[in-house]
Parts: sequence; C-alpha cells; structure tokens
Amino acid sequence: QHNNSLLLSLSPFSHTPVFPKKMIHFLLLISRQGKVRLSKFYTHHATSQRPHTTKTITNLILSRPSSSSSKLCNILEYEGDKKLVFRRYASLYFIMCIDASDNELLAMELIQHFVEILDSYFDNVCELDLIFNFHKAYYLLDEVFLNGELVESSKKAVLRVCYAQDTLSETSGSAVSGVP
Amino acid sequence: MDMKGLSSFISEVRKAGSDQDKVNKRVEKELAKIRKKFKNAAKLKGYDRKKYICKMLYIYMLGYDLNTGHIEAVNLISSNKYSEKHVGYLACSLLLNEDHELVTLITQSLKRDIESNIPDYQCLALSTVANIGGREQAEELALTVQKVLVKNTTTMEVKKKAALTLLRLFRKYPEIISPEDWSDRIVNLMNIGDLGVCTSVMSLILGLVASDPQGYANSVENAISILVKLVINKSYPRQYLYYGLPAPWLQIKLLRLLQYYPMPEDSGLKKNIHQVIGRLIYSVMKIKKGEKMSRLNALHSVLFECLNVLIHYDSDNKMLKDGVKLLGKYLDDKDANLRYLSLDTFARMVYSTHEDVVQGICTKQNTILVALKDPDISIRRRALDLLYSMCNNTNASEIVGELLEYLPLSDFEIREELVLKIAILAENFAADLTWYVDVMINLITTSGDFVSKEIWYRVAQVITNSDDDTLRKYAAKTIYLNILETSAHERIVKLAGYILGEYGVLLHDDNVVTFMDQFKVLLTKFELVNDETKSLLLNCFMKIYNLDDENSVRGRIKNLFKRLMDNVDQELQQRAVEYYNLCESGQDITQIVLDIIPKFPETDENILIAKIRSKQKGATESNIRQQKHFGEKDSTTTNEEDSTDTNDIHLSKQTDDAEPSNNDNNLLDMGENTTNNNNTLLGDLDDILNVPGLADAQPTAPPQHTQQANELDIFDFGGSSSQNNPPPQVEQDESGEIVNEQAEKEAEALYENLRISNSGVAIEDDLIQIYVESQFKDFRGRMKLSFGNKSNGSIEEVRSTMDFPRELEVTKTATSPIITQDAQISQYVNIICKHPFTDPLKFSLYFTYKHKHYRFNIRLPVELHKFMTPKHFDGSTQFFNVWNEFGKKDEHMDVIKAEGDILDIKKCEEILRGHNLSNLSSFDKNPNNLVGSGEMHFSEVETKHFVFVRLQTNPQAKAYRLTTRGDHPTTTKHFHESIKKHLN
Repeated sequence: QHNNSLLLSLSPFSHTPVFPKKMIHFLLLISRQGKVRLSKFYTHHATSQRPHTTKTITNLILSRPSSSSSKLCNILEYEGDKKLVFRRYASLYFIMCIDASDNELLAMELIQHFVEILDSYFDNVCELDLIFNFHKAYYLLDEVFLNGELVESSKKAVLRVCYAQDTLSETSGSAVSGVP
Repeated sequence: MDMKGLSSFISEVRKAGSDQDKVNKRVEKELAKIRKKFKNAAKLKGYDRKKYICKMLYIYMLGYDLNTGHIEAVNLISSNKYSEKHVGYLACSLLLNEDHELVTLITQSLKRDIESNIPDYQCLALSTVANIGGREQAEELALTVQKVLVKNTTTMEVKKKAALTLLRLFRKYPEIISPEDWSDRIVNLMNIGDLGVCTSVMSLILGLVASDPQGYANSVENAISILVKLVINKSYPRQYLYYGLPAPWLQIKLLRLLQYYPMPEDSGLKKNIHQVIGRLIYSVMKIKKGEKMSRLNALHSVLFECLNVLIHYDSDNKMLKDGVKLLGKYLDDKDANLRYLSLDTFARMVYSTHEDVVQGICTKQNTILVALKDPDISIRRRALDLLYSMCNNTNASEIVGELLEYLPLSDFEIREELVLKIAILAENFAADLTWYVDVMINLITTSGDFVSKEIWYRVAQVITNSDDDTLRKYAAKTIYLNILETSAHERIVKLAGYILGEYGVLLHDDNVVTFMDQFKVLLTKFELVNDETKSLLLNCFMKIYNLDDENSVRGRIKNLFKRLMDNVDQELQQRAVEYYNLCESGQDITQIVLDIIPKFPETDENILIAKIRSKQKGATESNIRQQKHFGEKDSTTTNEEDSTDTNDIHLSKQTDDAEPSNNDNNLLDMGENTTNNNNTLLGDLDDILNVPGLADAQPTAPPQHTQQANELDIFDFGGSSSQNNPPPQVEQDESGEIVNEQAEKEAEALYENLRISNSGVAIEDDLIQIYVESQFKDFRGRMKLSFGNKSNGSIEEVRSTMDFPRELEVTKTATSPIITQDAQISQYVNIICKHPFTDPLKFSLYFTYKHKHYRFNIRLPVELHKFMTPKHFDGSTQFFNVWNEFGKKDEHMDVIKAEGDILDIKKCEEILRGHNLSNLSSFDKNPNNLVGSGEMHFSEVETKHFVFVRLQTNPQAKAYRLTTRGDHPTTTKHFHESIKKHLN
C-alpha cells in the first residue's frame, strides 16, 4: 500500500445541485441568411453589447452542421454556464439561451409552443408575416414569456388575449381617425 | 390597424436586398425624415407618432444604433389611446434597459397604469416592468405590484403578469418581500384554480425559495397536491393539455420546488410523491413507436425532472434503478437530444449513495466511451464529463487509458481541459504511483502544447512528496529514456531538468545511467528550449555538479557555465556567473545551497483543482454559495492560541492525521486550509493565488510563505483580546457623551488617505487611537479595527455601533469591554457588497474613562472602489478596442486645472492603483497618460460592472483630463468623482 496521504488534497468528486436562476436569458429569431427577425433579452445585457452577442450566436448556430438529419442534438453549450437550445422551422431558427442546469427538452417545447401560437394567429405563419408584422410578433411574445418566464401554457388563453388586444386597438384607432 | 407607411418602408428595405449600401442609404433617409418629424413632435398626430416609432423599431432590429426618438416612445406611453400606448410600451421595453436614463421618466406613468384598475393598461405596464424594471422601479413600484397581485378583484390575466413582475423586482431588490409578511399570501395564490396563474406564481415562488427556502416551506404541500391533481386525478381544463400531457411546464416547476427541500417526513405526502413520480416514469416506459416529437420531448423533459427529484432524495433505490435502465437505453437512441440528456443526467446520478445505481451506470462504460466519438461536440463533452465523474478505483486504469488514447483525436477546444482531467484522475486513483508516473509522462509527451504549467508542477510535487526513492528512481529513469528517444517537448524537458537534478543521482549511484549520460542528453535539448527552461536546466546541472564526487562531468558543466557568462539573456547570464563562482568556491557552501528540495506543503489547495475550477465557469454559482457558508463559519471563529505556528509545523500534522473525508468538498472549497488554525477567509484566498514557487526554479528554494504568514497575521485573533465577553447592553443617554470635535475633523483628512490605502490611523486623540487594516476580494471585505489605549488609566464599557447602507451586509465581532492602560484590543468587521452603493459606513465607538462617557464617530474606509478587481489586457489594441466600445455608453469627462504644479505621474499611478484599477501605463503612447481598468462583482447582481479610466496629464498647462467610462452609472460616477478628489 502506497503512502496515499499526498493524494488527499484531491477530491474533485462531489455533487451539489445547481438550480437554474432564470428560465430564458434571451430569445432570438434568425433567418437562414443570418437576419434577425425578433430578439428579446431578459437578463441584463448592455444595449451596445446586444448586436455583438446576436452575431456570435448567429454564427454559432448557422455554422452547426444541419440538424435535419437529426444526427446532432439541439443543444449547444454556451459561455460555460449556459446552453443554447434551438429549433429550425423552414427558413427560421428559434434560439433560446437558458441556464445550463435548466430543462433543455422543455425549452425546446417552449419554442414549439410559441411557434404554434404564431401559426394560429397569423394563420399559417411564414417569415414574411413576421417581417411585416414584427410589432405584432413582439406583442404575442410578451403574452407568452415575460421576464424570461412562461406566462401562459394554454394556447387558447394566449390567443384570446391577443385577439382582445387587436379589437381594442382597432376601436381606439378608429377613434383617432374620427377626430377631425 | 395596419400602418401602410410602415409596410412600404419595410418593402423598400427588403428590395435593397443584400446590397448593404442601398440599405444604408434607405435607412439613413428614413431616419432623417423621422428626426425632422420629431422636431415638431407637438404637431404630430398620434397615428403618425406610432408609425414612426414602429419604423424606428424596425431600423433598430436591423442592427442600427438609434440616437433619436426614445423620448417620443416615452411620450406615447401616456397617451390614452390603447394602440398608441401599446406601441409606446413596446418601444420602451425594446429600446431601454434598466440602466437607461429615460427609465426614470416612465416610472410614474407605469405606476399610474398599474393602479388604474383597467386590466388592459395594467397588463401593458406590468409587462414592461417585468421586462426592463430595475432597482428604481423595485423601490417605487413593488408595493403597488404586490397589492395588485393579491387583490381579490384583480383579473387572472393581470395576476399572471403581476407575479412575474414581482419576481423581476425581487431579483433586483430582494428586501421588498419578506417571507413573514408575504409567504402565506403568495403561496395561497397557487390554489387559485387557474393553471395559468399557478404557472406564473410558481416562477415567483421558485425565485423566492432560491434565496430563502425556509421562508416558503409551506409551498411544498401545495405543490404535491397540485401534482396529484394533474397526474393522478387528471383534473384540469382541456386547454392545458400539451400533446396529451397536462401542463408539462407547471409539472416541472412543481417537481423543481421539491428539490429545494428534503423529502417530506409525512408519510401521506411521501406516498403521494412516490405515486406521482412512479406514474410519470411509467408513462415514459410505455411510449409507443411513432409518437409525435413534441409529445416525446414533453414526456422526457418531465422524466428528467423526476429523475432529478429522485437523485436529490437519493432514497428510492428501485425507481433510481428503473431510471438508470431507461437512460441506459437512451444512450444509443437515434435521437441526439436523448443521448445528450441521458449522459448529462448520469453524471449527476453517479454520485448516488446506492452502490447498485452507480454500478448500473458503470456497466454502460463501453457505450459511454463510444459517445466520446459522437459526431456532435455537445455529446462528446457530456461523455467526457460523465467519464470523469464515474471514475473510481476499479475502472480508473481503463478509463484513463481510454482517455489517453482519445486525447490526440479530441477537439482542440476541450483538449486542455481533458489533459487536466486525466491528470487529476491519474493522481486520485493511482493504486501504484509508478502507474501515475507513466500516465503523466505519456500525457505530457503526447500533448505538450495543451499541458498547462500546473500539471508538470504537480508531477514534480507528487514525486518529491512521495518520499520513496524507488519511485523517484523509476521516475528519473522513465523520463531519461523518454527524452532520449523523442524530440521532447519543452514541458517534458522542464520536468526532466527538475527530476534529474533532484534524483538523477539515484540512477548514477546504481550505475543505471551515469551523470555524464544524463548531462549529455539534457545538453542535446538545451539549445532547443527557451530561456526560462534553460535557466531551469542550469539549476539541474549545478545540482549534478554538486553531487558528482568523482568529477566525471564537472569539467564540462563548469565550461558550460563559463560559456554562458556573457549570454544576452540577463537571467541566464546571472545564473551562469553565480553558479560558476559557486563551482570555484569549493564544497562547503554548495552543500548548503544545493540541498535536496524539501517536501512541498500540502496545505495549499491542489493546483490542478484550482486550475480546473478556474476553467469551469459553470461552477461559479455553487462557489459563491460555498464561500458564503465559509464566511459565516469565519465570523464565528473564536481566538486561536498558536498564532505563531509556521506552515512547516502544519505540514507534518497534515501528513500524519488528515482524513480523506476532510477533503470531499475540495472542488467547491475556496482552498480551505485544513490545518491552518488561523483560517481566515482572505488568507485562504491568498493561498490560491500563490501557486507554490516551482516556477522560480531557485535552487532548493523553499516555498515562500513568509509574506503570506504576515498577511494572515493581520487577522490573528491574538491572545490579548481573548475574552470574548458580550459588550454591555446598556443604552447610554446620547446627551451625556463627550465628543472630540477637533479629532473628528482631523479624522476627515486621515480618511482621505484611507480611501486609497488599506491601512492607517482612522482617528486619534489623547485617550485613544483607532487603527484600521483591511483586505478586499471581489465583493467581500474584512477589516480589523484596533483600539489602542493612550490614556493613563483603563478604558471601560467599550462598545460600538454601525450604520451602513442597505446595499451592504456588515457584521462585526464582539470586543473586550475593557482596554487596560497601554493595551490594544481589536474588532473585526466583515463586509459583503450586494449592490452598488454610495452612502458611507459609519462607525461609533463608545467607552467610559474616569466615569465620563465618550463617543468617537468615524467613517470606515469602505467605498465602492475597494471592491474593484483590476482587469488586465494583453495589449493596448485590445484595451482601446474595449475602451472605444464603452465610449458610447456612460462617460464622464473633466478637465481639471491644478492650483500649482500637477502631481507627478508616479503619484497619479498610485491614485489609480489605490482605486484598485490595473495600471496599464505602457498602453498609452504618450508617457504622460495613464489608463487603467477594473471589474466589479456584487454578491447579488448578476453582471459585472466595468470601469475604464484614462488620465491624461499636461505638466505645461498644469491640467489633467480625466475620462471615466463604464457600463453602470453609479459605479462609473463613483470612480470619476473619487479619482477627481485626489487630483484636486
């Protein structure tokens, strides 16, 4: 038996659970050409840093070999303590940055949940809808996620609120044009 | 309603396509138009204002910097047309962030809308606060939001948003919610019946629980009953079914809540949890082929969370084993996400205390090894991590062998980490140290460039400390053969220089390899290595010279020294001269100087562990947690007797009676010095910073601990102040106290000095002197206040009070109530900086002397800049790039005229250093200019704050120009004003 005492200071093996602090750090919607279609930062991020971050992530995701063959997973480790979870729909990538300890598959389904809402609202959503009605996309986004957390998981409930908002806008809008 | 102007603008930009010039032109034109319109904003119709703001937002989204229009967005918020308000809030939440100066302007509008009782307005305002609210909003709006959240008449829609808004505000300013007042009310909201509200409220509760689990323990029972309702009773509205699963997001939040608490003791609750998890796992087991991807993901995500709960409880052997079985199947599933996640979860499960669970994972070793070659880097990383975690005495040699084989194929970005991990495993599980030596030499040989210096230091340490000449001889021979046969890498040459210098004699004495042969092989490498390694080889030669009694190689070594005496490298030259003279001087001295290296102290944290931790940012959070814990322990430490112990004495203790269990938490410890009785927090931090001095390569240099010991001394709980009696609790009448105003005035001037230095007199008169010593590291500080009695009698009833800003957490130790004549007592103050602060930390000392009551008021030198950590840059280009980037943000610039001559540049450097900024004086081409920078951490702010300072001096004009940039207004302003004060 060897004198083991010199090895004692080495014991990397222990496990402390680390819980996610935040659901989503930021969300990006990027076209295959690398154009930003929607971006929302929930963690403190200096405004001047945002374009840089967006660019880095766009490159990371777009340079990843196509995941359509499902050979590669939809998770990329990012900045050590975070993960990027992304899904591609036709020409668009939806990317979410979450804590490394958060639930990745569920984050993927958050994307799906949001996409389904967009799809119902725009009636078969396509990239052009999101370009020309980007402000509406942001309105929808706020009804699904706030402060990086899920607000409502019922598609029906979200859509009901959005339609109500539209009606409200229409009526208040026409009130404006009614004024001479 | 749609905006035509907006659509046509977007179409035109799109038409320009990828021609960036055209796009720029079109955007510039539009911006010019918008600016013009906004000049006469008063005349604009609400509709137009809305339209132009939308155009601006589109431009912003394309990546352009906006410098106009923010104020128009702010104005739109107060419109009473919903559609305009809506656009106004949208623009604010996209364009502003919590630091933006305009945020202040919208606070009142936000408050008005939240209090308006019009649900649509309330929702808009709450969403905005939830997205961009900062500390100011927390102060102004928290109460309003709380009221709205719990009010009965508030609609569900508003409640959902209020809950998440409150979470945001709480994170910015935790004091706004105290569990005593709010715990019940918030937890009750879980039962409101609306699953949407429940989901949002659960996010809030998880945020609250994370910072104070005890305060919200009443949520556990609710969580379990909701889980039962969803999973067992299947009672939920249909619209919450997501691909057949009831509210999977809510389920996961509930399951996560359970992980903050130990398993409930109540048998009914226990049974319920068991049932719920059992059902969930079962539903995954019966998944059929061809199910929809979203359903699979949702099912699996719940499964992984269930497993996390099981891992946390670590009690249900059977279910854990079922989990292992399931995940084992996923390891080679065709779905890459499942492969990834099962590796990830295994890496946590492998710490289970159930032998058969761990065993179950270990049987998958071969599959896991295959995952190392997965086409996906994310999966390769997880596999590596798992192999590292699952390594034990039984499988170590196989895993290390596989990893060594994999090493040359591994990705460059993870190779350095892989090398480190192999080194750690090899050391930790070495059944036989010759195996360790083989592995390490193999490792250094095959991946030299990726071997950090800590690794070869450590090998040298282990071999030295083994105290086993057979091993040392083995190491010497192995490394000799290695460099003989290969075109050795620099790092292995260094190690060889060290080992042969120390233990080459063992080979020589046994006639295995003669000194001559050792010298020859090292000499063939000598010309190929850099100067630092050459210096190290010179040490080695000198040591061989010293031991070479038969003069077999002395002549050649001396010649080499002679030849190098005029080498261009100063260090080499100096060594050559000194060693040559040593050779000339004869045996007596050389024996002393060149004695064999003593053992390295094992009190320091293993350098490899320190290194790997610095590489793993992911561990940051738990580190902080650990440090906090450590701090608590520290403050309760009572005085220790043998403060004069040297590290050497500890050393022998360590090797004799340390137990393995002491070190189980080493990865997370801040290098806890298990044997050092004066176990102060900052002392330990210093330990980490001082890697044992192998790099110095001084002949037989004992590790330098003197300075460290001194620093520890500052924080000695010395014998003189040993009675830790509680201070008298008597509250004294304010009016009866004598205050020495003259001394307090002088203290103001002394304070100026203390602002940029860490020790000095804080106040002094004929009776008493208060001396301050302090150390700061990241967001923590520790201060020793010494009260010296200068009077002719004893000072009694000593007590003190403090008044500090709420952004700080300050605690002090008790003091002795009596200071006898000419004696001195001490008090320690621990400070944690939670948020940026501006207010002073006030300290008052009360005592009686000859039946009169005295009071001394001082400011303790705790200001924002004390918590700064200097930030270094590799070169001036890099610095100025960042400098310019920050230029657009918060900047303060002043030209300061000096009254007489301006301070000399050295003095200015001192000021910057006193502010804990890095001194980068060589970065600015002009020698009269200085630049510096630093970063700041707060215990409760997620991001760092950066500060960059440029000080230009002009001796002729007798003026300075001071520019301060940063990313946070409070911090930047503080540095600017503080430096300015010292220049005046």
